[in-house]
Amino acid sequence: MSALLSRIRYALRSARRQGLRTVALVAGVGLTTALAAAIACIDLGVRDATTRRADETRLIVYRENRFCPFASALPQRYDRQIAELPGVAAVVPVKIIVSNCRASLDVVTFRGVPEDDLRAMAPQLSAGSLDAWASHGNGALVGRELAARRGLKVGSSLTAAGIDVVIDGILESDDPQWRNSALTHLAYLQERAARGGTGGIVTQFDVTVSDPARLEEVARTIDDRFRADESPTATRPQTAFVARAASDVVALAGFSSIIGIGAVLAAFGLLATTMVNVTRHRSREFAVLRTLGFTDGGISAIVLAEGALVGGLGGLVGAGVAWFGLARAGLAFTMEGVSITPRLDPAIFIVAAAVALAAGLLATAVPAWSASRARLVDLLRGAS
Amino acid sequence: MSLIDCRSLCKDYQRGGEVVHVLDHLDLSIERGSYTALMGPSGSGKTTLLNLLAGIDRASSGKLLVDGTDLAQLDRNQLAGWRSRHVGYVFQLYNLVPVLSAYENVELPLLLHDLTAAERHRRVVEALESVDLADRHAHLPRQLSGGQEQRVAIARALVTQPALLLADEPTGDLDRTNADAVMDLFGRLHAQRGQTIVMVTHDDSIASRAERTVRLEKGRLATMEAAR
Repeated sequence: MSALLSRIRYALRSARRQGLRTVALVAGVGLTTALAAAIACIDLGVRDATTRRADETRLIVYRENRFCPFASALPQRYDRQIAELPGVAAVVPVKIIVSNCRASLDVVTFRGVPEDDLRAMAPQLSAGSLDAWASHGNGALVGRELAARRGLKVGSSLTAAGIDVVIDGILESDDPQWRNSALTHLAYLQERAARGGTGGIVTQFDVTVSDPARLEEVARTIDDRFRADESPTATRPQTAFVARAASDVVALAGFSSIIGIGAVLAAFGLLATTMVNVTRHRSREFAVLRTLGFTDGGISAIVLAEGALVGGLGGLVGAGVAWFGLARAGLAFTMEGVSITPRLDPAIFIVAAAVALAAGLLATAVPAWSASRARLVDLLRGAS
Repeated sequence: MSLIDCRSLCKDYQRGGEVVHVLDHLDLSIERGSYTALMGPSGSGKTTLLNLLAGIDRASSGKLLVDGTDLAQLDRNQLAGWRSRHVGYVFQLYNLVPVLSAYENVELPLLLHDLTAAERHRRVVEALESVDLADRHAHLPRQLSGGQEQRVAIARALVTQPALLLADEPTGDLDRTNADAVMDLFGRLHAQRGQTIVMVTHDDSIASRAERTVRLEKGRLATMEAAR
């Protein structure tokens, strides 16, 4: 054990004295790890938002052949008719106004909902109160991530897309749509909407079904109900709605994953090449160590320990940077009023750091083996 | 009593399909506590013999006993362990590890021994004092002169208290003043500690510091003479 520790100590000393090289390698591994972890978090967020779950009960009713909140307009009175359909547990009419309909990282999405419906949903607030919101006609409850992105607090005001609101509460939710929205009174948003009339028009209905197994059936029933009406509907499970609305973001996330894998492989190749060159450059040093009595395994342990140090430290730094950066940035990909946020799953960061450590060891495995197997007398011919 | 006993020692190399007999049935004994200079023209087998004595290379045939151990019976790792306990090796070009301080270079061989940190420290300090470099312990090799580097290398070779100190042209890269200082140090080690030293040199004046000079020619023992 003490022999192993002594080799690790030697590797640490060597790495410390070769500070610039070590820092450069650790930074390279760290950046790659951070990139890979961030992409994995985004990918997980996309999966969360777009993958149909067995217990899913939420349907989104949109205007048929409309793909943007600015274009989707449905009569609010549909809510009573939808509520009467079999399998429907609740209906919430929602007016949506966004500051930017295109894909963006900083979109403000206003979601106007009736006060009674919001109270029925019992939203969880980390600051402010529902009563304060109810008492202000232009009050808003802003999602935690939107608040963090825009530096909003209770009492501050927010102006976007021609809408002025006062913040009455900070909203906590598992749903990224809520975490990245400003919930206002439906009537206020209808009144301030540039298009869509002064009232009675909403963008969509959020429908909760009583039985997840009947999700598709209820969706068909809703669309059949309004097929011949003035505003035909297109109803989809929320995950399918998000997948369609944010299809560009989903495609981008898929492309990013490929780039992420490429970056990891490129960084691994660079690390391996660097370690091979470093080991070759140090053949004289290893010859001296072996002359002093270091065994083949001892030399291998030194090289592997340096690889593990670079990989492990780079992995920890990278995972930490990714976690801190994503948590602080409050990143949300928003498109057509639909938000997708990265999911900061601790397992991703643990795996990313472990993979970086394994890459460090793997990159040095061949140099370690060759350093230990070279004939000492041949090495010393170049050393003496 | 012999510390080193070579009997009909041979070392052959293949060079371009031709077998080169670097050592050719060499018989040689070196007493414990002796101070021997190995001389001879280039290619006579001096460094090859030194490498065999250190367990760095293996004999093609013959018998080689060092401090009672038949080196042919040891595998690579056993040889490494044996070397760390029995041999101190001094290179012509010092070969200090450039990223380690003088102290850390001297401490290096002790990392292979089961010693407490305090004992390790005591031995390193003692070794550096013995080569008059206690005040340079924190210096990196590039901050030392050639002579100082070689003295650190000697301290590194001695710190494990080996039975045998081998030196391959230890003054070959030094000016006369520093070469004399190193030779004075070898003389002191031999006289005060009874250190067994085998040193390869081309320089007659350096060889004259040893108790006896062994001359090799074409891999064979040519002459063996005591110092004048």
